Amino acid sequence: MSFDAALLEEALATLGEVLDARGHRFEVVAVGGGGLLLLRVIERPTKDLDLVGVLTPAGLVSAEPLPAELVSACRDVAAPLGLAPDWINPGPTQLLDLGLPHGFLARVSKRTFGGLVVHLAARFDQIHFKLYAAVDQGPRSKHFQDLLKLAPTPDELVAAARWARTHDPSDAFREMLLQALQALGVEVPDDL
Amino acid sequence: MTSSPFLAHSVALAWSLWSELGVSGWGHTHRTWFVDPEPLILWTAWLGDRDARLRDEVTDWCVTFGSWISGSRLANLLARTDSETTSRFGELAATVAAHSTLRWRGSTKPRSFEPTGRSRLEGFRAPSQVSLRLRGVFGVGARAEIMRVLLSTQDALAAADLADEIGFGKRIVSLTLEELRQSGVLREHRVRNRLHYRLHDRTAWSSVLGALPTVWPRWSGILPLLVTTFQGLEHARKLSPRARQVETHKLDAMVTLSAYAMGIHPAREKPENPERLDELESWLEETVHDLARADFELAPAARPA
Repeated sequence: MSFDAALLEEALATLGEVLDARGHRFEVVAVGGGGLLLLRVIERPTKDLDLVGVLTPAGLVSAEPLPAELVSACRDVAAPLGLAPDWINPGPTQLLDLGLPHGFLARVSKRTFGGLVVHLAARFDQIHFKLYAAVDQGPRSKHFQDLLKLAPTPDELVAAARWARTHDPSDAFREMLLQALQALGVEVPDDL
Repeated sequence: MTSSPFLAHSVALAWSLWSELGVSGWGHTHRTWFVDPEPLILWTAWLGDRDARLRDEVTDWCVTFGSWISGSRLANLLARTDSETTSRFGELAATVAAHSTLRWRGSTKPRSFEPTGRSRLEGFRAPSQVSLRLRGVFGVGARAEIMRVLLSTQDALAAADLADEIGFGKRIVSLTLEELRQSGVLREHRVRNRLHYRLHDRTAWSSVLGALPTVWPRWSGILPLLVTTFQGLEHARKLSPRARQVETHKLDAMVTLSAYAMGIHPAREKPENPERLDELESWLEETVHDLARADFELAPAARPA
């Protein structure tokens, strides 16, 4: 089953109330289509909400694995709402391993749903993630369409491209990256 | 007395089961059902002050006939139970200890109590008293419980399954099974890498032991399930509408799965929309009512063939 924004909001509100009633509180960081839906940047339905990390007193840690109490509550919420059991899941957690864009956490928007706080990656950072994914999956991918919806400026795309190169420094990736930037009408700097 | 229908039916069930064992009470609706004393003691402790007369008469029974109870089994079943039951059992155990030589594990602080002397036990011939009858023959312990389970079914069972069902450790169950096999009471056969046991001559044992129950409920699972279900209903009632829907759905799934595992087939059809707490609650209340009236179906595997 896919989410529209209203169903995703409802599911998160339910999850937050369940967590609250069970005495749990989690702060998570969301990226991807689900995050863009919550930011109202896109309208296309999405299958899930991808988490990149969980905020703990020790800082941002990988969402893989998610805390057991959160997984259990997600499953319990999924059943009556007719959602997939893993409607919230660890998404591209390797983004965390290789490094999020500088200043990422300072830019997130915070949404509180009872015992669940969702930090949504900012538009600037989503441009980074979507460019990286679009280069990998091509111009017909949902990521490229999402990137267009984000209406990035050339400066933002160049910043995103520089970050993407830190995740994949290969020549093959650079070649595809340059093609993507050209398709987006960006004048590519020599030092990229 | 309690105002909750679920608890009222639970209390009625407890009265009927205890009456079968000799507690001074009016109802005898479970004459042909197996009654299991240790889980019943724990569950009655949980019911506690919800019926003061039941509490006192059961305490009286325990003081008078507690030597028929297995302290080890009681302790093992207590270890599986919830904190509310554990706490309330502590008071019952302490009260029983204050008026007898029995020393059950988990004892805490006794309440004020005077034995009523009304409990009576004049032989164990009724089918519902088979548990006590087997203890009279085989002694109070794992041996009597193993015989009881194997009398209730034609299935061959492994030590681990028996240990889980009777509430004794796997080691003592394995040793006892081997002794019973060596004495010719049991036959064994291997299923993959596990030994399974069944009675060598079930019919002969049935005729020696006298009238057996026609219904063998797994009380060690059913009675804790009633506690969990009541606690689940109480919890769900306090929640916001969204959280209540989720917890009600979860409770429904838990009850359904557990009941299936115990061979319980409630006579009443489940509500169309079990996510509605009021509908699920009504169904559960009616189901406990049926159980209290012994108007209930159990899966064939839970009955003697």
